[in-house]
Order: sequence, then structure tokens, then C-alpha cells
Amino acid sequence: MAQPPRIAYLIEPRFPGGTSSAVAAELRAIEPMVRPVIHDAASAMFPKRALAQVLTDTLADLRLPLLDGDRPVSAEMVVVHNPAFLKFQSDLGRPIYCRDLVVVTHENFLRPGNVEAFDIGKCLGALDRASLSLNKWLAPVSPSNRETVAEWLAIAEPKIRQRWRLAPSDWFNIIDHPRARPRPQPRDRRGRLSRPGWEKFPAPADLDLCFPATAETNLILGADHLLKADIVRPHWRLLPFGMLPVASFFEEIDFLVHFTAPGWRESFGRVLAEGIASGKVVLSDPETAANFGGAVIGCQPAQVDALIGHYIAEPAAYRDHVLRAQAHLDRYAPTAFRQMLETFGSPARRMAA
Amino acid sequence: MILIDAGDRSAAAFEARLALAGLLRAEGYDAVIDEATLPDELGRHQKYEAAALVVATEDLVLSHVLVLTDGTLSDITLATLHDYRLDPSVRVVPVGCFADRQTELGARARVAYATGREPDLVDLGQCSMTALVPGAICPGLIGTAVQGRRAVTRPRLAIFLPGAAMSMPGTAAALQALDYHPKLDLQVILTDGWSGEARTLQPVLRNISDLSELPPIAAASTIDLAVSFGDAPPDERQQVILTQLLGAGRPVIDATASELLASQDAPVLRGPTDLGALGPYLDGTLLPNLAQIETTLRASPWRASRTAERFAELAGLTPPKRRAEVTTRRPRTHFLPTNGVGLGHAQRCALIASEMKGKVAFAAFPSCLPLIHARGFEATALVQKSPDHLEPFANDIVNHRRLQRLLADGDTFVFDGGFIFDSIARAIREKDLRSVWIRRGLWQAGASSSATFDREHLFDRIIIPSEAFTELNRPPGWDQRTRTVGPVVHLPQNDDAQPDMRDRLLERIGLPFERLVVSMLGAGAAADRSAQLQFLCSLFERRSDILHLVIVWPGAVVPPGLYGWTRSRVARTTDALSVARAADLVISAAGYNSFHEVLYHRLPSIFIPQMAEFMDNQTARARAAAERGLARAVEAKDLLRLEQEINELLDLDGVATLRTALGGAELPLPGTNEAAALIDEVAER
Repeated sequence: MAQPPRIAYLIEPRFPGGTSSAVAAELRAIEPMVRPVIHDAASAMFPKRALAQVLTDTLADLRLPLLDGDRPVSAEMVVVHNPAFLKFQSDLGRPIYCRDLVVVTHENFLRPGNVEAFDIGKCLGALDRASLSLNKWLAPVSPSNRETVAEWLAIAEPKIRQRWRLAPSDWFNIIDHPRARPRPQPRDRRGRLSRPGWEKFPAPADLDLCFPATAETNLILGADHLLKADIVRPHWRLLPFGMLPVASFFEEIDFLVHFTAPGWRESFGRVLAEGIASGKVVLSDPETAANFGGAVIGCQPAQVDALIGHYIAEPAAYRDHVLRAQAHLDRYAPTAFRQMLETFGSPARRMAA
Repeated sequence: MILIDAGDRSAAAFEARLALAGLLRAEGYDAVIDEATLPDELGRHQKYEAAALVVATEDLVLSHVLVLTDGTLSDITLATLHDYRLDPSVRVVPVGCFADRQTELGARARVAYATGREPDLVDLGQCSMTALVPGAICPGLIGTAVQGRRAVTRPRLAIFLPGAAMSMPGTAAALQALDYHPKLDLQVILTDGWSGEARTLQPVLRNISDLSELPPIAAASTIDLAVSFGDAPPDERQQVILTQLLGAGRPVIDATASELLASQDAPVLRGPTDLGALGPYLDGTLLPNLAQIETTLRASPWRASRTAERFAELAGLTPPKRRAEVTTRRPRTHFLPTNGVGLGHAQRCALIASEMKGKVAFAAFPSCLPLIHARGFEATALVQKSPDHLEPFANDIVNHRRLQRLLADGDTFVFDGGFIFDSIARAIREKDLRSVWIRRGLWQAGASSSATFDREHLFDRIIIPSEAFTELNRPPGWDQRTRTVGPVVHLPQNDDAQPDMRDRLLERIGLPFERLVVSMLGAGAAADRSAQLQFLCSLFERRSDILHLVIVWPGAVVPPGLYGWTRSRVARTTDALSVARAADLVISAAGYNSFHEVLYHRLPSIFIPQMAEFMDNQTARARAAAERGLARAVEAKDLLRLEQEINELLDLDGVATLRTALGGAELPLPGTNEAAALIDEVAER
């Protein structure tokens, strides 16, 4: 009789953006160590959406079946990525039996201004009611994400605080992109890449500051809603999400300029890490930049022009910054993740491992 | 300025926006709707209401943006909010009833992303400010405007009824019984328009209207108790009306089979679902306890939680500064004569207005303005209908806006005309006005049952200037509001005499003449008189002793061919009577004014009646005079007969015969003073 798997994943494989990319990278990273069982949560959040291509490809490569239906999820450790998929339903629809239930908090629990980002109590409540588990962990993906989870827990209902614990280490995104050399003579070629959505974009005035007429290139990939709302500029090249391969996008720019709506923050900023790996100088707001140490330059939109001007004038500084930033990415390597996983959680689990 | 938007561009959402903006306006807030956010299809009546609320937002200084949403926030709404580039000081307030916390958080977040600021959300469910029935978009707010209207002696019962109910046996009989209820004034409000069998009730009931044409606040102001039938949930407009009634302590009775209203938390009474049982229910249950029910309603916590003042606090609205000029001006009487085929309505109004005690002003179409100004009255210009307008009622929307600004609560409004425009009906409903309709008494056969009378119920008094001849007048009706007065006509005055008129004409025209003939045949869509006038001109061209004046009013379109004659000249004047009095013969249409002026001034005349479907019965009028030997009457098409009559009158002493008959004719006393007194009496109520 086969031994039960050590890790099972309960995922919503229809998340279109960073969550699915992070899960895909994670599965590839742990596959040499453990062969996980993958369950499809099939939530009410995406009733008609197809599976994310990156996950379909990864599962096929790894020959991992995606188990559908409402069968129980059972393992030593059950990992649930991004509990927000439960925000439109009151029940999980299947039981979970495990020693450690790890809920990876891909989204910030609080938005800027300390406003609850989604109905977290509802999502965690559904998981709590469905699971029989010794430990229930909330595992943030970054330092800034950890802050929002901790702050939310501090004001949550007592029963939630009693049942859920903040994981001691971050369940970070794995960045395993090939490193590209920085361009020797950078030019004023700017771009941004995100899935479409109002939260991903700053106010029009800030967008104008980030992508001015003076720039040689202003490439905005994922501009679906700007196009739909006719918010266009003659000096912007606006492309719908997915219209250009990511590698081609990075080929066309030297600076990744990424600001969001003031009421929203990246919980990690996977695209920023991809920009660094692709050999670009990356600029973002100070709070998001803080997740990356000095690898991402924190600034305001009004400072973008001057900073880009500086790096164009000082190609050596551009090169040095990119190389330092790429070195920083080592902490998101698959080996680092496997180490984190081996030591994650309680002493009892570590002994069993 | 407070901008009202909604989560989507649906018709229902727009109705809710109109309703909320209207409610806030009535409370003194500057609530507006962005013209760029109108739905693709707007109903006729929505356009009237929107005209007062819709603005271009480029130059506005906004303080708040209220977004009506149940969590639905379409891309277009978010794009609009994003594109406003709102100043940081502008507060954005999503307002709605949210199904759960996630829906609320989602709405809050998306508005925050689109506007770049954290919104101040008002959850209507949490604040006990929900609408009567779940699913409505407009908050269940209670304004103060309804409560301040003048009191009435008989409770006004409104029955909200779907068109489908008309095909049910007994509906018409039950409604008619209620229409003649001794203690109630009935109005039937069709909730889904003039559909199905509803048209059959139009001539039967005195007060029946389509819900979509009723501005909610104004409609609620004219209802003392309401009964709701039908099994479809009330739409936004009906819910706003019913909410205002409950707020004013006026009973709302749920007569739906599924208890749509009474099953919610509002203090709605349960009533019989059969229309036939409504009368006994009202007599036996409601009316005897009306005072107690009203007291209970006014004290209900449901009402207390829904005041507009509380909503304003929740949304952070700055208390309004009421516009002082609206309330401080002394009440006035405003006349609005339609311009019809000629200037008869304007002339009649000017005559009555001259006899009024109180302050009088006019609103009139451009063709009437010279006459009204010449009589010494102020007049606000209205816009004439034009084929150049995008829609046939575009001018009436502008006129409605002008009337809204012109009229104030407490004023008296006098309309003289046949067709009651939407602008007039709306103005009367929207303001707390005393209203008088001066209308014709002489109708063509079958015409008096037309849609003209649909809106008669809007008026406090109806004045019918009578005809000079008895057989043309209808017997008095049973309606207490209707008063018949003597003919409203300008009587010969001493200072009317202008013995030098013929000399002045000679001096001005430079054409010697011995006899003067005046034609006043009118013009316009009703009857083209080009052929008759050309014929007359050709007749008189052969008579070297005749000067033939074709009288038209200033601005009238004159066929170019009329200018080519030697003995016929076109004269534009607002004082046709002065010229006619100097004439040997008058050839006139038989409109009310010209007919009676010719008679009362004893002028020999030939009447050529104008007849069109919408006009009074000029043929009967002309015939009545001819039968008495006081004039000659000729049908417009009978040109040979016209020539014979002219020859006989001018060549065979016929004019003298007519003068003799006219000199001895006994005509009824004019009713101008009485009409003025009746209007004054209404104004003083």
C-alpha cells in the first residue's frame, strides 16, 4: 500500500497572474524533494475561466495530475495558495486532514490606509471549518505582506487569532529566471507590465510622469482598461495583456517603472523580480521597493525622470545596480525555498521530515 | 456640487440617479448628473427630468461623488471615475445595499483604485436606509418637500396598477366606483405605462396617468394614501414615491398577492388584493382610523432612520444654503397662452390680465410677445416648436426649464390653450401652484373626449369663456371646478375710436380709395389660406375704389404672391381690430377672438371658417351668425359663392343691411371681469 504523500496542494489554478506563476515555480522547485498531490479548488471566483497556462504547462511537465471533485485533501502538510479564491463562497466543499495547514497569503490583508482588502474572515473561516489540523499557519510571501497579515491578525476576532498563527518564515516567491546582462549603454526606454486592472495603475497624472513624451519608448503591456476607457497618449504604446511575450517586452525596455493605485500595493512584486533578472533597472514606490532591499529603487513618480536620466548618463552605475540587484535575487532561488520548506513550521513537523 | 453616478449605465440605475438627485435638490443640495454618463436610451419623460440635473462636468467644482451601487461597478463607471482626475478634496461615496462584507469590500476597493482615494462608503443596510423592496438602487430616503404642501379637504387616493389588471373582470367598474367615492379623490397611476387595456380607462376615469411621467417628489406631494397592486416589484420611481408618503405619515397599502411591500420592514398596511374590495376596506378600516395611522407612521423608527438629513450626515454632505429668492418673492399670477393658429389665446389672456387685481406676468411664444408687451405686461419668452430640433418635444423641454425657474410655490398659473404640453403638466405638478385652465367651450363633434382632457385634473379651476350664441354653449357640467363666463372680448371703448385711420392709411400707402376691405383669414398648419387670399386680391384688383388690406400678425409667414397686387397690401400688426373698425367690410376666419370682436364691434363681415381636427367648431360659429343675419358665412372652398357675397355686400347695399342687423343685435354681457375675478379668487386661496 502506497504511503500518503507528504505535501498536498489545494489551489485555484485559474488565478491569471502572480499566484499561478508562483505556484508553478514552487512545484518545479520542490519536485526533486517531494512529489506533491495537487487538488483543484474550483472556486466561485472563477466559474468560467480556463486554467492558467503556466500551471497547465508545469503540471504536464512534472506529470502531476490535477485532482478535481470534492475528494478530501489529506497530507502531512496541506498548502493552500491565496485564500482570496474563497471570498465568494461560504464553504470549501471538501475536508482537509493534515498536521500543518499552510495558507500562503499572496495578497495583502490590508490595503494602504489599513482597509481590509477582502473578506479574510470569511475565507479563513471556510478553511477553518473544513480542516482538521494540528497547526494552521498564515504564511506571508514578503516582509510587507507579513506586516499586513500581522496587523490584520491583531484586530481580528479572538477565535481567529487563536486558530491561526503567523508562520515564522516567509513563503517567498521563487525567482528562477535566467539572468540577462545589463545593457552597456542604456537608453530612455521605459515600460511596465502587469495584468490589467485599476489597482495596478496609478492616477493618470502619475502615469504621465512615469511615461512622458520625452522618453524614447513608453511600452505599457496589460493596458486593456486604459484602451477601453480611451486613456491614451500619442507617445504611449499600449498593448493588451498577453499581446507580447514577456521576454520580448523586456527586450524593448531598459527601465521597468512600476507604480500602482495608491489604494493598493503589491504583496511581493513578482514582475519586479523578473525585471531585475532580465537586466533592467526597476523603479517603484518605496513600500513595494522595500521588499527587495536595495534591488528595486524606491521613489515617487515625480522623481522617475531624474533617476532614469542619471542612469543613462552613468552607464556604469546602471550596470552596477543591475548586477547588485540580481545578486539579491539569490535569496529567492529554488534551493533557498527548499531550505525554507525543510525547516518550516513546528519542531514536530521538522522531526518528522 | 454633488455628482451622482451609479455602478452601471442601466435604465434602472439612471432612474435611481434621477430620483436621488431630485431628492437632494429638493432639500437644497446642488446635486447633478454628468451628461457623459447618460444611458444610451432615455425615455421621453426621463429627458424632462434629466434636463434640470444633467451638466457638463468640465468646469464644475465638485465636493462629492455619490456612486449608487450594490457592488456592481462596470468598467465604464470605473473609467469615468478614473478620468475625472478628482481633486484630493473631493469625497467619493459609494452608496448601496451590499449582499455581504466581501461585496462591500470589493466595491470599496475598486472605487479606491479608480479614484486614487479611500472612499467613504455608506452601507444602506447597516444604516437602516434600505429601499422599500430589496433590489432597489436608490436609497430609501425621506425628503421634507412632500410634507410642506398645502392641505386638501378630501384625501387623495392613488392606486398604482399594472396595465395587465385592466383586462381582469371588474377592474373598470371598481375603479369607477372609487372615482365617484364621496370622500376621496382618485388618481390611477399605471405602473407599466399605457399598455394593454389601459387605454380603455382613459375616457372613463378623470385622473389617470403613466408613472413614468410623474416626477417622484411632485407625485408624492399630491397623494394622501396609496394602494399598490400587481405582482412585479415596484420600480425605482414608485418606491421613491411610496417612501416619501410613508415619510410624510401617509398610509401605503400593499394590495399585492405576494405581499411585496408588507413583508419587508416598512410600516406598510396590508390591504385586499381584489380591487373590488378596496372601497369597503377604505371605508371600514382605513378612513375611520386615518388620523391614528398617520400619527403612528410619523412616530415610526423606520421613518426616523431614513431622513435626508441623516443620509447627508452619513455621506458627509455639507448642509445646503437654501436659495433665498425662491421663498421671498411675493406670489404672482402667470399667464401662458398657447399660440395656436393665431394670437387669440394671447389676446384673451391679455384682456383678462388687464382686469386682475394681483401682480401678473406672462410666459409666451415669440409670436405672442409683441402683443403682450404692447398691452404692458412682462413676458418670458418660450421656445417655439421647430422641425430643426432633434426631437419634436425638444422645445418643450427648454420651456419646462424656463417654467421651473419662473414659477415659485404659491404662484397662480393660468394656461389658455387646447393641448396641455408636458412642460405645463410638469410645472403644475412640481410646484405648489394654484392652477387655472381657460379652455374653449365649443368643440367639434366627438373631439371633446380626446386626450385633451387627460390632464384636466391638474387644474384647480377651469374657466370656459362662453359663445355669443346660446346653441353653441354646452349646458353646465357637474364639476365644481368648472365655471362658464360670458364671452371674453374687447368691448368698444371711447378711446378706441380712430376716425383718422383711413386718412392714415391713405398717407402711408399712397393709394386713393373710397372703400376699405380687411381680410383676417389666419394662416399656419391648420389651414392654408393662400388660394382664398389670392382670389380676394384678384377680385379687388378690378375695383379701383377699394383698398384691400391683408392683416397678418408680426412674424407670420406671408405667401410672396400677395405682394404683387396694386389694390391689395399686406399689413403686419398686433392691433387688427383698430384697422378692422375702419373697414367697410371684414373678411375673417371665425376663431373665438376675431368672431366675437367683429360681432361686438358691429362690423359687417364674411366669415370663412378654419377647420382642423384639433380646432374648435368655426363652421358652427359662422353659421350661427349668418342664420341671425349678422354676417355672411362662406366655406373656404366655395370661391364662387365668396365672390357673390362680396358683390352683394359691396354693390347691392348688403353692408348697410348687415350694419342695421348688427346695430340691433342683443349680445350677452362680456365675461372678462368675471374671469379675472375667478382667477383672483383662486390666487387668494
